[in-house]
Amino acid sequence: MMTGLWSMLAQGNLIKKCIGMAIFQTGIILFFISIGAKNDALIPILTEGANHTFDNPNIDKVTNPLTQILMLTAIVVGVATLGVGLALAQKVYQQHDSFDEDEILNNQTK
Amino acid sequence: MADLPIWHYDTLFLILAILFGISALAMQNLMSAAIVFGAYSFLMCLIWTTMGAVDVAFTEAAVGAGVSTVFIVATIYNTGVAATPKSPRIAFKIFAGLIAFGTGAFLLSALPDLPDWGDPKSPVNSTMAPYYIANSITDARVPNIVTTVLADYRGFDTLLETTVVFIACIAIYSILRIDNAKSKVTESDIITSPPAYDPTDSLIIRQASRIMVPFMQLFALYVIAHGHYSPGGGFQGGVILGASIILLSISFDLKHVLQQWTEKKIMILTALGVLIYAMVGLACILMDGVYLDYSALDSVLPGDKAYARSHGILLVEIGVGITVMFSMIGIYINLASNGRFDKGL
Amino acid sequence: MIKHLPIFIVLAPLLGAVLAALTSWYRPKLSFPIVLSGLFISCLSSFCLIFNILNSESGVIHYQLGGWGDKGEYGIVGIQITVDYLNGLILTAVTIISLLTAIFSSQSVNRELAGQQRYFFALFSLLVTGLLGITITGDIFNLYVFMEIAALSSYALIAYGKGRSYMASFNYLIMGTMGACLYLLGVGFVFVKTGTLNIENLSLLIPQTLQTSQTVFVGFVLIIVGAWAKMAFFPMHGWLPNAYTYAPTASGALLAPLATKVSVYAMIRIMITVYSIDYVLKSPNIQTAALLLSSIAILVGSFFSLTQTNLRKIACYFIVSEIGYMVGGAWLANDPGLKGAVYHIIADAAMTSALFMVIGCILFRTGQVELKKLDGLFYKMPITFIALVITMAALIGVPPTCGFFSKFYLIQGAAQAGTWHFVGALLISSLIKAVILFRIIEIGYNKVPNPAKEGNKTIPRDEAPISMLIPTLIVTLSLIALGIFTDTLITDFIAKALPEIPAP
Repeated sequence: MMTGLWSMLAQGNLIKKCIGMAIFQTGIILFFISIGAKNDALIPILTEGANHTFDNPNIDKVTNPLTQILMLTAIVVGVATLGVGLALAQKVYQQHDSFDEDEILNNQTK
Repeated sequence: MADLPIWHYDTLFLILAILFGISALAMQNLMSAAIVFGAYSFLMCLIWTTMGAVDVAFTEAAVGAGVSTVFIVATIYNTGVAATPKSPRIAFKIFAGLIAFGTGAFLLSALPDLPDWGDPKSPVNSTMAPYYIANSITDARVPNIVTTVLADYRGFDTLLETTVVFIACIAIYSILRIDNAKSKVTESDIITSPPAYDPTDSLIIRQASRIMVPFMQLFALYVIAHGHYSPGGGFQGGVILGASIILLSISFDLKHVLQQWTEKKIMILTALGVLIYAMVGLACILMDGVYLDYSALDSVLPGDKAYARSHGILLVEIGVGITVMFSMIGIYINLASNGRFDKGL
Repeated sequence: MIKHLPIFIVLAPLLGAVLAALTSWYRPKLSFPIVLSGLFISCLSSFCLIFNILNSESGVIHYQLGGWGDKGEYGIVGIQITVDYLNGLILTAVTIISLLTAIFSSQSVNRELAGQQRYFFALFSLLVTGLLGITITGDIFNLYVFMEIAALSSYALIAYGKGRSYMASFNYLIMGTMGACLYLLGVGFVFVKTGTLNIENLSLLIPQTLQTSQTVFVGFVLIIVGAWAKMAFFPMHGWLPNAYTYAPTASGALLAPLATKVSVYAMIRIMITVYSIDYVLKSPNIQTAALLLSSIAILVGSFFSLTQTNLRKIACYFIVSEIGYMVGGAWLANDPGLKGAVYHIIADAAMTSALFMVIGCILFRTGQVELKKLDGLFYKMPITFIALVITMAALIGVPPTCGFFSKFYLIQGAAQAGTWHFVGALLISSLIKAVILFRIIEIGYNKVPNPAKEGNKTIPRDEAPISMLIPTLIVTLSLIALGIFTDTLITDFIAKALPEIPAP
């Protein structure tokens, strides 16, 4: 996760900034998923089982569904942002023929 | 915990993932960086499966490892692959590194205070979540709790999430498409670098994808429709449907696809999905319910109130699927053809 | 239908945007009226809502989406919309300004973006949806999603500006995403200790049981820093001037007054409702840092504005310094300071809106806003010029306007807290704005191009079209009106919106 943050700040290359952004996001997702995990728990889809019935599930044995929803949302938002970022990067490339931040800055001040 | 060998794999995956993440950023060639990033996403999705988050893993496999990578590759195809910085900017990098490191240390300072890993009695696992687990069946007759929470308990989030995808699609359309419509003259100036690699027409790829695409679409429909009982739902199914069309346009060419799915069709259907979702919610208000309270629809949908919720969820999942599918296609076509809608990868 | 008012506020612009996107393929002319009517419904609902709140006893209105309410020990399991005095007021301000801006921008969009405005108004409306959502929601994760809606549509709106706007928008995207990610991580840290995302439940849990938790503290810092990145607070302000300068007139006029103010609201909401004033006062290190940074922000914004020659850039640096006012006021964490900060959100939204509308008018007629080329502006566009002078006066803080009163409260708060560097920064920034105002008056009023030399006796009048002029005038006059009704606003709304503040 820190890798992603670092790359967003430090990388001069626009595409790498986008990749860094995505890595940062997966770091956050990892955090959320891990706080929702339970030892020896099943996936959050209810089935009929030994100590486990449809109407009365064993709550401690089902992984927390809430964190998963939140992260589903975060993943989708992430890919949307990535797409917009890439589109802007393409446009910048068309103008300056480069992905390098310094070079673009030089071009602009010229 | 020690007797579960699965956790060892977990650690292994995590270390590998971090390595892949770092190397994706260190690569000089952007194309390899994109591919390594895809591998990174795939490892992450394995980690999530081991943690029991199958729906998240499914989405990550479709979105992170699949579509995101394709988006990046499409962008690079239109631009260049080399990523050689002109100036090393060492001082700046060290400064940024310090900020990142400081943030990391600050986050770790909370470590002793965090609940134990996998503790079923931690606040997160004992406050809101048990309600969902205990009542998913009685409230909505849906065994996949993730689907219930996604489309019902927190349905408003999902409506907005669909809107986000829709915004991304029209935003990219406005950013990329417009400029080229009027400045046809400068097109030759724009493409200064050669494509990243030669698109060769391989018979094997064509035939294989021709066979694969129908199965992918069938599977995607199953994922949407069966989301109540198994991992999946509108997002995953929509992304797979979108990916099947993207596969077609990669293996054949963009024109081939655009003959069937014109620009107008794609953009209209994208909006239509959001409209379906929002209208289902509005229908609930008209039937004396609260916004997105599908149980109010029980007089039009078959079954009792709980089944009305179940069917309501299916309706909105279809809306989500449509928007996501066409948004993905729209975004891909824009990125791959640089907004010209003529030729792509 | 009264029951459903809160959802209509958000839903109307959202549906307006989707329908506008659909119709733009068949009848492109229809999309503007659709968006306009969506914004109008939203504006109307927020007015009704604020009267409902005034009449209700508790002063709070809840709306449970999906009908999931409070489930006893589990807390509130669905997403809840909460409207009270604080966000009711801001909702009204946001809806009015966005409606006026929409009317204002129709002409300039038709000219600046001829042939490519297909999705412009859809994105415009979606941005308003996002901003209203951030204000209205009662769920911290839902707030994140709304934040992203607002952010994604604003990236696109800025990128409509062509040329340098692409790079500006990309920088904004990186900064904005970083802010949103930090916010989300902060939400995660709060979530891990409380297990709930509902602001109401959190406000019961955190001040009582989790005062000393390091995790919750880390979450607090992350959320605040994330909000700062979104609002272009001092060390993270780099993206703002370029982004707003190179955006098209209409996008600038919508984004500049609203986007940053709504983030300030989010910060205040987290500070006073989720955590409490007590909590803020018990973390003195951050308080000192925040106050110091806001003083620096005010000074940096003001000094940079002095060095610029482009009126739009000047206005952008004003925003940077105004953000300093609001963040500083909020972090003073005493009664006048918070009142001043909340009042300034409203006042500054109106001031910035007026400023950018005036600039839009000038840009529409003369095609540029370089300071030195504005000579004789008073004779060419008298109404616009007077509006500009009134707006600048409000920004400086001349008595009958609202700018005076917010500064009055802020300085009072700073004096009470003994934060003299903040008082100094406020006064210096006023002085600098006065200098810029006199420069504008000198150029626009005194530097008259010699009519005799050019052959015509009088300079031809060339006002902006009426559809642009009327919104500009309404907003400008509202600056004075806000100033006159300060007392009502403070006692009837803002004082009720703020919690009990412990005596220092």
